[in-house]
Amino acid sequence: MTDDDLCALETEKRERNISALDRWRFIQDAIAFADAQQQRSRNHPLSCMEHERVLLESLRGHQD
Amino acid sequence: MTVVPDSIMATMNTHQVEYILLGGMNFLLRHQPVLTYDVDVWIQDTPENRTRCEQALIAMEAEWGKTDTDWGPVSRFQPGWLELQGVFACATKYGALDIFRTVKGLDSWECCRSRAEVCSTASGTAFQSLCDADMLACQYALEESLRKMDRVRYLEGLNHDG
Repeated sequence: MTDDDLCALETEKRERNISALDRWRFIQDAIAFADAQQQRSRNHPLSCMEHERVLLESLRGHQD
Repeated sequence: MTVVPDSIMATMNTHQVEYILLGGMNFLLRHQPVLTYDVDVWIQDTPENRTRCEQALIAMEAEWGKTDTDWGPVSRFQPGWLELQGVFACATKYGALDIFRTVKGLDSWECCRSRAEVCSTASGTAFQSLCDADMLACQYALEESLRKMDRVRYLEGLNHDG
């Protein structure tokens, strides 16, 4: 078995052994944690404008 | 409020576990938010450090099993159970935690530790963060289909930016 196989099997085993509720809680907590690490919330107008700027930049590549 | 991944690292710190944070959570803390909900740590693979890690896992009420039928609290294992294999995907009361004893693409824990950066989360929990070059090496070591290409491109961009 390769290292990649063992990693995948371990993750799958954990997924089978935690409840859907726990999985949901882990995801919610991780999102809250990620948001807390940012100086500005993702919903702050300046964050939205910055996100939009990145999106527009990526579109420009496709339009050229 | 103590945010949950903070609690995992804080518990590892309290038990003086020597570890380096890697994976999505490390990338999230160092660069950009990515969708991840597990904390990946690479521990120094010595008997003393594994013992401290086992104690930290008990404190976090971690669960793991060699098989599904064997799944349950790690507190029931005899000391030394972390020798069983190279990676463990545990569930703790603070969230999902992957413990690596070896990491594909990276050679010595000590070398990576010397390149790691001491960082802290927004609430002040300190951790050793795998450096960007080593994060990239981990990705290159994966089969192509398993690589996180967004992360690879971002990290490659940092290299090109000097």
